[in-house]
Amino acid sequence: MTGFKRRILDNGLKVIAHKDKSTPMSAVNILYDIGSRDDRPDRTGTAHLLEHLMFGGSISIPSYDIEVQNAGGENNAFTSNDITNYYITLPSANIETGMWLESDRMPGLDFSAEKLEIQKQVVAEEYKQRYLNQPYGDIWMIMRPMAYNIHPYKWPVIGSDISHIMNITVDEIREFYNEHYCPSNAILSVSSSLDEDYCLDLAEKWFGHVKKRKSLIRSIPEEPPQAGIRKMEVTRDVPYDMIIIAYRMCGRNAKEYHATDLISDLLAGGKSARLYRNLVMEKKLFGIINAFITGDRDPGLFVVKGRVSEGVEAEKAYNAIISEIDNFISSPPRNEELEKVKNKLEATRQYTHTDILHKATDLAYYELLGDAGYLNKELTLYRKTETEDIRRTAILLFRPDNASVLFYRAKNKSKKR
Amino acid sequence: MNRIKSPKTAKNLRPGNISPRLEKLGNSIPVYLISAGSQPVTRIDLMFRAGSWWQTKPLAASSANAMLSEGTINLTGEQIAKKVDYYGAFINSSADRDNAFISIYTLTRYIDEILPLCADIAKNPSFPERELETLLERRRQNFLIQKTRVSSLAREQFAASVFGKDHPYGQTLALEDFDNLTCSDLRSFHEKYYRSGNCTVFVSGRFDSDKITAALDQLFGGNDWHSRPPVCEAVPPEPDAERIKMLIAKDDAVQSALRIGRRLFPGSHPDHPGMMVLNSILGGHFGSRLMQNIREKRGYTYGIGSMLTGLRFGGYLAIVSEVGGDNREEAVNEIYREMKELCDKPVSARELDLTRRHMLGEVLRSFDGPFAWLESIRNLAETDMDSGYFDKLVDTINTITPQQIMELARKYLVKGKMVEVVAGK
Repeated sequence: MTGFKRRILDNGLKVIAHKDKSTPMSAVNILYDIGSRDDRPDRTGTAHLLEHLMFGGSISIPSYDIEVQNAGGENNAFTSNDITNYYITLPSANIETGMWLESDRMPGLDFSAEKLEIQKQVVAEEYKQRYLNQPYGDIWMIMRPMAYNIHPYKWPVIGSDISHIMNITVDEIREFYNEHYCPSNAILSVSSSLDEDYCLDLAEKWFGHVKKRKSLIRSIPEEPPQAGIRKMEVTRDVPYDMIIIAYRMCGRNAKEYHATDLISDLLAGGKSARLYRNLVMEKKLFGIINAFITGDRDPGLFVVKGRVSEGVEAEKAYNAIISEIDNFISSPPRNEELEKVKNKLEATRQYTHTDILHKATDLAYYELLGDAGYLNKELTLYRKTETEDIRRTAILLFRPDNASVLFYRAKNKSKKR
Repeated sequence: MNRIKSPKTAKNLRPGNISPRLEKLGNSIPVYLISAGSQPVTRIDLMFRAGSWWQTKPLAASSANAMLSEGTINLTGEQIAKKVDYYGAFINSSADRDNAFISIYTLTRYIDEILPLCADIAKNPSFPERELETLLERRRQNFLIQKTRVSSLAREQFAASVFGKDHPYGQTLALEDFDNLTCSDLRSFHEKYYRSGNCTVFVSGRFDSDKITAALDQLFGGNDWHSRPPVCEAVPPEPDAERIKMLIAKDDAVQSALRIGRRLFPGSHPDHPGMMVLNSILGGHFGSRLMQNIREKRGYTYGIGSMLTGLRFGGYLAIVSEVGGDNREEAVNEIYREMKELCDKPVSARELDLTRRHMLGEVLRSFDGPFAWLESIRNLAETDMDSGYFDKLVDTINTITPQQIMELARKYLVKGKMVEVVAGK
C-alpha cells in the first residue's frame, strides 16, 4: 500500500506526496502530459528533442547540471508516446533544490539556436546508436507504420527520420513548449523521507507563482479498426531470423486492459510460461521468445517476438506461434496457471516499489490515468479477472485480421558447424 | 521570492550506520542482514567465489551458474520454474569475473516455500544434458549477435589488451567453445566451487532476522557441503606497458565504439578513493568534463563516460563512448586533451566543491532502500572489502586537495600507458 496526500494548486498543477521513512533520499518527479503523439507529422521527434533542451538552463538558472551536482542530485528524463517525464533524486536535506530547478524551467526555458543545434547533433547520434547501429535496431521503425495508418503512434518517439529532427526550428520548438509546458498539464510527485504536508507546502512555495496558462487541446485521429492481416519481409545483415507479430489491443483505461496484460504474462512471463516451455525448451524452434504489451494510453499493441533457432524455417516457427495462440483460446488457463501470473504481478509491483524513484514515477503516472490511488486499487482488477475474461479477450485480440507480421530475415544465415 | 539564488544545500552529508547485522551459520557461512524498507519483500543473495576467474574451460563458470535452476536431483527444471512463478518469486543467477550469484526475490510471506527450493538449486543441481544443449545454443546465438555490435567488439578487445589474452580477466570466446562444454565439466566445477566454505549470504527487505537466520542455518549451515575455499595462485603480470592502439574495422558501422583506458588496481588499493574523485571529474557523471565537452559542447555523441572498475585481483579505468564516424579522431584527441588538462592544471576550488557535493549525494544514494543498501555491501564483499570502505571514501571526498588530484592524474592518466580500441571506422 503506497499512501499519499494530494493538493491541486490554483494554477492547476497537481501535486502528490508520499512518505517513506526508510530512506535518506527524496525523489522529485514531474510528468508532462505530452508525448510523441503530440508531434506534428512533418516534425516528428519534437517532444523528445525538447526533453533534451530542457537541460539547457532556464530564466534564473544558467546551468541545470551544476545545480544538480551542487545538491548531490542525480537526474534524468524520458519521453514516450504519451508523456515526458523528468526526475531527480537527492538527499532529503536538499529537496528544495529539486523544486527550485523544476519550477524554474516550467515557465521559462532558455532557448537558443546554438543549444538547439548541439542537441540536434546529440539526438542524431542517439538515433544512430540505438536504431541504425544495432542488430535488429530498426524493427520498430518498420512495425509502427505497418500497425498504424493514421494514429501518431506510427512514428517512433525519437522521430521517423533524422531529417525531421534537423528541420525543427527554434521558433517551432518554443511554440511547442509554450503550448504544452504549463502547470495544468503537469503532475508533480514527491516521494521522500520528509512529511507529506511539508512537501506539499514546498511545492506551493516554488510552483505557486507559475502562471496559469491554457494548454493546447489535443486532437488525435483515431485509428480505424484493422480489416486484414498485414505482412512484410525485410532482409538485414543479422545472424538469425526474427518474427514479430503485433496485434492491435485496447487503450490503457479500457476494461479489457488487465486481461490483455495477463495474457502476455501467461504466454511468456517467466520460465514456466507456455511459449517458453513449448517453443524454446520442448520444440527448440526459438532461442528466445517474448510477449509484451506496449500499454499506451490510446489503443496500443500486443507483441509476440521470437528469435528463430538455427536451421529452422521461419514459416514453420511462425506457424508454431499461431498454433500456440489457437491452443490458448481452446484451452485457456485455469486455476493454478492463472493464479500464478496474478501472484507474480503483485510481487513484481512490491519489488519495484522498494526505492523512492519508482514510487514517485508510478504515482504521477497513475494520477495521469485518473487517480494516483489507482496504483493501490488496480491489483484487485487483476485479481478479479477470470478464465472466461481471458478467453473472451484473447478471441478478440488474436483475430488474424488484427495482426501485423514482420519476417525479419537474416542475410547471411548462421550455419551450424 | 528570490529565484536567482539557489536554496540552501546541506554540506558534509554522511550516511548513518550502514553496517549490516552479521551472523554466522553453524558451518561459519557469514550472513549479512539488512531489515529495512516499506514493502513486505525479501531478497536473498548467495555469493560463491565461482566467477570466470576460477574456470579452466571457457564458459564453465557462467554455464554452471545458469544451469542451477534447470533441474536438481529432486525436481525438473519445469517443476522449479512452476513453483517459483507460482509464488511470484524470481530466481536470478549470474556470474561475473570473480563471483557467481543466486539471487532470490520473494514476498516475505512465502519465504518458507522458496528457501528450501533455493537450497536444492544451490546444493543439488543435476545438470541435465538436453537443457545444457538449449542453453549453449542460446548463448551461441547471443555471442554471434554481439559480434555485430561495435560496442561489444570494443569491450572484448579492450579487456584482452588491458589484461593480456592469458590473463583470466582478458579471456575471449571462440565459436568452438560452445561445442566443447559438457555436463561433466559443469558438475566438477560445481563440486569444487559451490561449497559452504566458498559462500556468503546477504538478506535484505522486511523480515524477522532471527527467524530467517534459523531457517538459513537449517538449510545451509550443515557440514554436508563443506570444503576449503580455493586459493588464488599468482596473478599474471601486466602485459608490456607500451601504448596499444587497435582498430577493429567494421565498414558499414555508422558509429564507432571507443574504449580508452588502462589496467589499475582493486578497490582496496590506497589510491582507489582518490581515483574515484579524479574519475568523477573526468567522466563520472553528466556534469563531468568529458560529457560536457564531447556531448554538450560538440554534439559528437549521445553519451560518454569513464569508469573505474575494481576487481578482486586487479582493476582498470575505461573511457567509453560511441561517436559518429566523422568525429572519431577529433573525439579521441579531446579525450587525451582532457586527461592532459587534469595533469597540468589543478582543479578549481569551485569544481572540487561541486564534485564533493555530487559524490556525497552518490554515496547516500547507495543506501536508498534495502535492496540498494544490500547491493552496496555486497559489491564491497565481492572484492573482500567491507563497509569501512565508505568511511575512507567519504573522508577522501571531503579532504582531497587539488594538488593531490593532479598528482594522481600525473601518476595514472599517462597517454603512453593507454590502451585505445576503436571498433567501426
